[in-house]
Amino acid sequence: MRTGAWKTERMKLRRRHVGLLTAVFCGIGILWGTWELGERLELCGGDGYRMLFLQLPLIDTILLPTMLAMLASRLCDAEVKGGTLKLLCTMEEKGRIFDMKLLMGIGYLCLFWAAQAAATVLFAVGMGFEVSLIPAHMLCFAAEILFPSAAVLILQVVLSFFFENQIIPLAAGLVGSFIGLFAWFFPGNPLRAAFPWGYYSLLGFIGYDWDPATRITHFYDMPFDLAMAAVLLLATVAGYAAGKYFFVRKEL
Amino acid sequence: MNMLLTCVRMEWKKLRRSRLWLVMAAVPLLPAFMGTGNYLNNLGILKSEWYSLWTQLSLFYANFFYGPLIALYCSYIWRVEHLNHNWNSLMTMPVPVRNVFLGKLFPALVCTFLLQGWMGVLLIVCGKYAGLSGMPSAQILLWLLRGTAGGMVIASLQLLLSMVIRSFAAPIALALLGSVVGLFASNAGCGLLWPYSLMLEGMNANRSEDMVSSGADFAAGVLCFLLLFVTMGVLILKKRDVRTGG
Repeated sequence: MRTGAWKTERMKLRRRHVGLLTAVFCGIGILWGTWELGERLELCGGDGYRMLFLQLPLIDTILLPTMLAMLASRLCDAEVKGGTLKLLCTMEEKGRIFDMKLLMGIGYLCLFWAAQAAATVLFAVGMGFEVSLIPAHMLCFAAEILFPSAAVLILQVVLSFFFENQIIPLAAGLVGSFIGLFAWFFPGNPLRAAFPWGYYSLLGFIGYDWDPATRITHFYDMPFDLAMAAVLLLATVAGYAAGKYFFVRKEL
Repeated sequence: MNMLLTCVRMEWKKLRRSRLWLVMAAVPLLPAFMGTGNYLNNLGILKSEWYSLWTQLSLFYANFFYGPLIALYCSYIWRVEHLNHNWNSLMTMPVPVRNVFLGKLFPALVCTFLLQGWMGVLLIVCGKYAGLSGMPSAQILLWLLRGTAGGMVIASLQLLLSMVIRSFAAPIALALLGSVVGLFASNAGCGLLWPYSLMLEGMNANRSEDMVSSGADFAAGVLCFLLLFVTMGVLILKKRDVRTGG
């Protein structure tokens, strides 16, 4: 049954170009993050991994909220635009439809992250980063990208299901990009924790000092904020439960 | 001319109760408030008063957010036609197809004007909140107007994309990606050759020296792209068969 539901979701996404759009976003993010990498590597003493683990989440903060809004909108197109939800719910459990949408979205999200992680390692090999990879950094990078993105995805799927007019979910994605981006510029502001997009910066684990005279950047490790990660995970679980609750009770 | 006016009126009617104005009013508030906060936090570095505040407000707005915002608007303008069999109704209306496209372009251009005007108002309000004396200089007004011209190019391109692409979300994604590429194009010195760079070049976002070295080149770039996208839009409407349903 579960395999069938998974297959059905995949069939619904045929010719929707969701994979292509995810790949394009990912590609642009990688290109942006590695732009003039050689020149910048010299100015940070070959500490390329830390540089990318700071740079990529910042770029993802701009790209991912819009990408996730688009992804959720495309995932829900068959039901919302096609008006097939009532028909589907006569054959399938409503809660399972909601779960499958999320699982599908999280699958694309994981592919997005895996491609970025692989590109980071490939660039490290190709460019010969002098400072080697600390495995814990890769785990923190995964948590920094995937945890907030999963929370945002849940929000976007709920919005996409509840608003037939997709302008609201997509506007929420744009606003989210803004909030996430500015959260990086207000490091001490506790309001960041109130928005899922703010966690891209809250879960950051690399800091830097820039010397304007020599233009040399020194990157250093910051403790990964486990408390904030726990808060986010709890909020995500609560958001999932609330979203599913309202979706199941939604009048068709 | 009368037919064109009728088309424009019809488009306004389609946009009624869309709550688009709410999105258009709310989204620029974020760069305004946050840009002002950033300005106030960095008064030690940002010493050029109105110019410094302008850079903080316009940087992210022109670089990353105007494109997707106007894309959202353009997608909404074409949304009705992509639903059901409305393309058939649209194309059988007794009006020239150029009026159909221009009728849709007009609200997008008005929206660009209003957005830029709103950014101007927000600049003044935020400047006063930040304790700046006097008013922004005429040069900033010029940058705002140049940004409007650049924005019109992006609006016409997005209108074209939203017409061709049936998906509501895909043109918005393209606008964001185009804007990111626009940042590279601008840094590489070929901003006038990439439509998404024209707004940030026009608005002189985050630069102390003027990014537009020649006003004539900028105007030529804007006119060429505008003409190209409008012509393409009209030609596609004229030549291509419509796809309806779903």
